[in-house]
Amino acid sequence: MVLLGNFALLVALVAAGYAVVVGVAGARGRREETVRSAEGGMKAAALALSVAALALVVLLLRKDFRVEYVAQYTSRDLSTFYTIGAFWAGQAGSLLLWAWTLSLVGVAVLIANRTRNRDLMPWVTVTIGVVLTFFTALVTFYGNPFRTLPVAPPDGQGLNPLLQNYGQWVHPIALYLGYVGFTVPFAFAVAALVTGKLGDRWIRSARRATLWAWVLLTAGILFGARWAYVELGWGGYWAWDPVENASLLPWLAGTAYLHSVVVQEKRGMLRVWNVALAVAAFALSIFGTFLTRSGIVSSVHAFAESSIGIPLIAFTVASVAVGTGLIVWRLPELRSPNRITAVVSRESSFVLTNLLFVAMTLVVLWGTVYPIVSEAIRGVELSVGQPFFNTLMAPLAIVTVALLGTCPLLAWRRVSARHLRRNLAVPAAIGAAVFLGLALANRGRHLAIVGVLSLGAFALATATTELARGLLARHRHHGEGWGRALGNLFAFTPRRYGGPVIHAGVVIMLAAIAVNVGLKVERQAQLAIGDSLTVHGTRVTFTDLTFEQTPSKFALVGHFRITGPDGERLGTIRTEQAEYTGQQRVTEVGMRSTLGADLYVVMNEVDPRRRVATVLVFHEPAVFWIWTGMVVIVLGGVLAAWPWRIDRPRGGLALELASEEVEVVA
Amino acid sequence: MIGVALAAFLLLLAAVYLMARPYLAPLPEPEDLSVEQLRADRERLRAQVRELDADFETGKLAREEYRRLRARRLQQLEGVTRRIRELEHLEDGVEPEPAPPRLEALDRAVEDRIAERKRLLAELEARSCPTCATPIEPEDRFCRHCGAALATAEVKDP
Repeated sequence: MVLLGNFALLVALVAAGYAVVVGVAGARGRREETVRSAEGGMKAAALALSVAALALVVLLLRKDFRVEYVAQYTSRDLSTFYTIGAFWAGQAGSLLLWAWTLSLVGVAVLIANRTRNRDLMPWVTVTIGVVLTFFTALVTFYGNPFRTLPVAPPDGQGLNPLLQNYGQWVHPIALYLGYVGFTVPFAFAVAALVTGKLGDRWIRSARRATLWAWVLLTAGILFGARWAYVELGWGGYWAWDPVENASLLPWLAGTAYLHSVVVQEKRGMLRVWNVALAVAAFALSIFGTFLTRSGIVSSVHAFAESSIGIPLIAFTVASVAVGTGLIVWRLPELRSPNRITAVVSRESSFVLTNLLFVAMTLVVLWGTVYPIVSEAIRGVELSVGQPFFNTLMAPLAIVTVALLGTCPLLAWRRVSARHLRRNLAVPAAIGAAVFLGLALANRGRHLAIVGVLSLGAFALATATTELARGLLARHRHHGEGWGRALGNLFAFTPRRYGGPVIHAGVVIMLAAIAVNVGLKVERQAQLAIGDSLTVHGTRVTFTDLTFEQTPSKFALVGHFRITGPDGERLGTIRTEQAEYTGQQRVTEVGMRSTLGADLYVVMNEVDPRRRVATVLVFHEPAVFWIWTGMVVIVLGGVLAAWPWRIDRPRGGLALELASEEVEVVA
Repeated sequence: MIGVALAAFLLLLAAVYLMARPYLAPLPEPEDLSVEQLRADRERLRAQVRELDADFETGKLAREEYRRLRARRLQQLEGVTRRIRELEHLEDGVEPEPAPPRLEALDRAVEDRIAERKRLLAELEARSCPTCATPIEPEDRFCRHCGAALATAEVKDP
C-alpha cells in the first residue's frame, strides 16, 4: 500500500505537470486535440490522487504503524470514525486532501465545460494544473503521508483528543473545499485576462463553483467558531487567532467578489475590481494555508513548525504577481464603457461594499502579519492582540449592518428620492421603534448595544421587506399560492432572494455578538465542595467531585447545582477535566443553554485531595442567536447556490415574454 | 505484492489512456462560439428583464425609467433571438421544428402585442420638448428643462 501510494503520487505529479505543459502548447497552437489531452492529464491526476487517498485510508484502517503518519495520528483503541478522520489531522494528510479535492473540482469544471467556453478552457486547465502540480509536489516532497519508520512502534500516538469530535468531519473539510473552490474563479479570471475575453462570461461560468466555495468556507468558519466555544473552554468563539484570520481573509475577499461581480453582470462595470478580487481570494486562500501550516505565527491551533512555509509563501507571491501582471497588461481593455451616473445608486453602493470589505481584509491582514513583520524588522515578535481587531472591526461591522439595511433598497442607475423614501419608511420606523423601546426598557443604559440592536432591526426589516415584496409580487402577478410563490422566488431568482436571507443571518449574528460582547459576565473563584458562586443572579454550587477512568483517559468530574435568582432549582451541570494517555489535558465544558443566555462552567485547577477546584463561570448572553444567525447565513447561501431546475414554458421566447408582459400590464 | 503491482500498472495504463484518447477518438463538437456568446447574451437579457420587473414591482424603479429600460432590453432580446435562430438554421440546414399550432397562434399574438407596445414606447420616447428640444418622458406634463407646458399623452395600459 505504501508503495502504491507513493507510485500514485508520482503518477499524479507527472500527469498534473503534463496538463500544464501540454495545455500551454495546445492553447498557443490552438490545437483542440492537444488541449483535450491536457485535460486528460488533469483527469489522470485526479484518478491517481484518488488512488493515493484510498491507499492512505486503507493504511489508517489497518493501523499500519510502520507508516509514520498512521503512527502519529492513530492508535489501536481509536474508533473507525476518527481513524478515517485522522486522514486530515496532520499536515501531510491535509495537503493530500487539498490536492485530491482540487483535482476533483478541476475534473468537475472540465466536465461542465466539455462543449462550452472552449476558448477559455485551455487556460483554465493550465491554471488549475499549475496549482494542482504545486500541491501534489508539496505532498510528494514536503509532506509525504506514506513515509515509513525504520521500526514500527507497538502502538500509535493517538489522535489529539480535541480532534475527537464530530466537528473533525465537518470543520476542516468544509474549509478545505472552500479554499480549493476559490481556485475556480481565479482560473477563469486568468483565462479571461490571457485571452482578452473580458466580458462577464468568465464570471457566469465560475459562478456556481464560487457560490459553493463561499457557502462551504462560511460553514467551515462558523462551525469552527462553535467548536471552539463548545470544546476549548475559554468562553469565547473567536479570538482573532492567526489561523482563524487565515480563514477569514479569503472569506472577506470572496464575499467582496460575489457582490462585485453582480455589477459586471448587470451593467458591465467594476471589471478591474472583479479580476483583482478573484486573484485576491485565491492568493489569500494559499496565504491562509501558509499561516496555518508554516508555524510562523503562534496559534492555538499549534501545528508543528515545518519547512513547508517557504514554498507556500513563494506560491502566494507568485500568484499575486501573475494576477497583477495580467491585470496591468489588460488595463486598457478592462475599462468599462459604462460610468456610474449617480452618486446614490445601486452601482455606487456596490463600490462602497467593495471598499468596506477591502478595508476589513486589510485590517485583518495587517493585524495577522504584524508580528511577522515586527520580528523581521526589530527582532521582537509583537502581537497586536485582540483590542486592535475589536477596535477596528467593530465600527466596520456596524457600517456593514447599516449598508445591509440601505443598499438593497437602492435602484440601479439612479435613485428617485420618492421611491427611496417609500422603501426606507417601514424599516427606518421599525429601527426607531426598537431603539425607543429598548432604550426606555433599559432606562438609558447600554445605549451602544441598544443602538446596534436597533440598527440590526432596521437591516432585518429591509431584508424581510425585500422577501415579502418579492413574495407579494409573485402572489399577485402570477397568481401563485404563498408556498409556491416562495419556492419560485428562489428558483427563478436565487441570488436575488438568497441574498436577503444571508443578510438577515449576518444581521442576527452581528447583533447577537454585540449583545454577547457587551453583556458577558465572567467570575472565577476557588470553590470547595458546598461553596457557591453567583453570576448574573444565577447561583452555581459545587456539589461533588468524582473520578472516572477508562483505558484511554483519566477524568476529574465536577458536579454543580444551578439555582435561579429566587432560589428555584434549574438543574445540574457536570464539567470534566480529562487527561488522555500521552496527550494534553482537555476540559469538557459544562453548559446550560437557554434562548436568552448560556451558563458556561469550566474547572481550571483541580486539587483532588483537598477536593478544591478553581471554577470559571461565564454568563454568555445571546449565544443561541449567534448560532441561529450562522445557520440562516448558510441556509441563504445554499438557496442561492442551489442548482434549481426551472421548468421553462415550452414554445420558446414568446411565451416566456408573454408571462412577463402580463406582469407589466397588470 | 502482486496485487499492488497490478493496481499500479492499471493506474498507469488508465492515466496514459486518458492523456492519449483525444488523439485517437473523435473530439466532442464544441458549440459554435458565436452562438454560444449569443445564448449567453440572451440569458443575460432575460435575467435583466426579470430583474427590471422585480425592481419595478418592488418600487425600486420609477415607471418611466422602467418602461424605457424594458423596451430597450426587449428590443435587444428580439435581435439576439433572431440571430440565434438564423445561425442555428445555417448550422443544421433544417427548419426548426414548428411549434404546436395553439402555441404558434399565441406566439404570433404575443409578438404582435410586443411589437405594438414597442412601437408606442419608441414613439413616446422619441418625443422632445417643442420649445427647447430636450427629450421628455411620456408622462411629463411640463418640460424638465425649460418648464414649457406639454400636451400630455397618457400611456394607456390595456
